[in-house]
Amino acid sequence: MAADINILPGMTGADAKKANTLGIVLRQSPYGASLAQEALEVVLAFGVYGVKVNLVFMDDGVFQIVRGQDTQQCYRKNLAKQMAGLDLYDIDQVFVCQASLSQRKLTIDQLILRAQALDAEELSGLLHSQDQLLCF
Amino acid sequence: MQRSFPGYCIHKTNCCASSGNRSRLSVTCKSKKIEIPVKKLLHTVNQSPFSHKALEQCLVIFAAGDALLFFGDGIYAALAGQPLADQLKDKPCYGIESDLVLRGLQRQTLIAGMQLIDYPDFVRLSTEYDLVQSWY
Repeated sequence: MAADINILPGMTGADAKKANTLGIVLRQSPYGASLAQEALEVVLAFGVYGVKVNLVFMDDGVFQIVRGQDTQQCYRKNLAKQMAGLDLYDIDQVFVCQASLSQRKLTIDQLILRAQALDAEELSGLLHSQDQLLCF
Repeated sequence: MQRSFPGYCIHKTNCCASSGNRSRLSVTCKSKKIEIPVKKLLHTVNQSPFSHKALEQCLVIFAAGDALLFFGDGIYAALAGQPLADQLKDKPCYGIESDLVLRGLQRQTLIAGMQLIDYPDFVRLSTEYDLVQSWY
C-alpha cells in the first residue's frame, strides 16, 4: 500500500496539521543498560496502535542496529533480532545520523534495518517537525 | 533544494523541494504541496559538559528558536569556564537554581544570559515550547 507524499495514506495538506507523527530518538548503546530494550517495547506498543513512528538512531544509539549481534554467550535478549521485526508493525521510517555512523567507523550496510542516513541539518529538521518526541 | 524530505516523503528519491522560514516549511513533492509546521524545541540537559557529551550532541540538533534548560549535573554547564561556554552565548539558557546552590556554585561566575529558575518555571517553560527533547 504505497502512500504518495505523506506517510499517512490519503493525507492532504490540511491534514498535515492534524497528523500525529511521533519521533522516537534512540541515543543509548544496547546491552549496557536496559534502555534500548525498553525503548523497543515502547516502539512496538505504538506500532500496534497504528501511531506513525519516525525512529531516529543517533550517537551511541546507532550501535543498536549493527548486524552480527550474538547473545549466545551472554544470555541476553537479542536486540537486533527484535528490531528486524519492526517491518511487520509498519515501522519503516527509520533514520540514522550519518555523522554518528562516520564517527564510529560504521557504514549503512552494516545495519540490520533499512535506514535513511541524514546529515545534521536534515536530522534537526526532522526532529523539529514531529508532533511529539520521545527520547531514550 | 531537491531531496526526499525525511519523515514526510516516502519516495526516498530526490523528489522534494522545500522552502520557508523558521516557523513554517513548504514541501512540494511531485506537485503535491504540504505545509509542515517547524516546532520550537526545549532541550533539557542533565549531564556535565566537563565529562559527558550530552550537551555537545544537543548543540548539533539545536536550531534558532529553541532553548536549553540545565538541571541536575547539567547545571555545571552554567559555569563560565565550561568548555562549551562560547556556544551558549547566543542561545536562551535556563538553569535550575536549587541545583546550583546544592552544588555550592552560587558564587561562581556564570555564563552571561543564564537565567536561573525554579521547578514551577520549568513546568511553565515546557508548555511554552512545542516539544521537549531530553539529553542524558
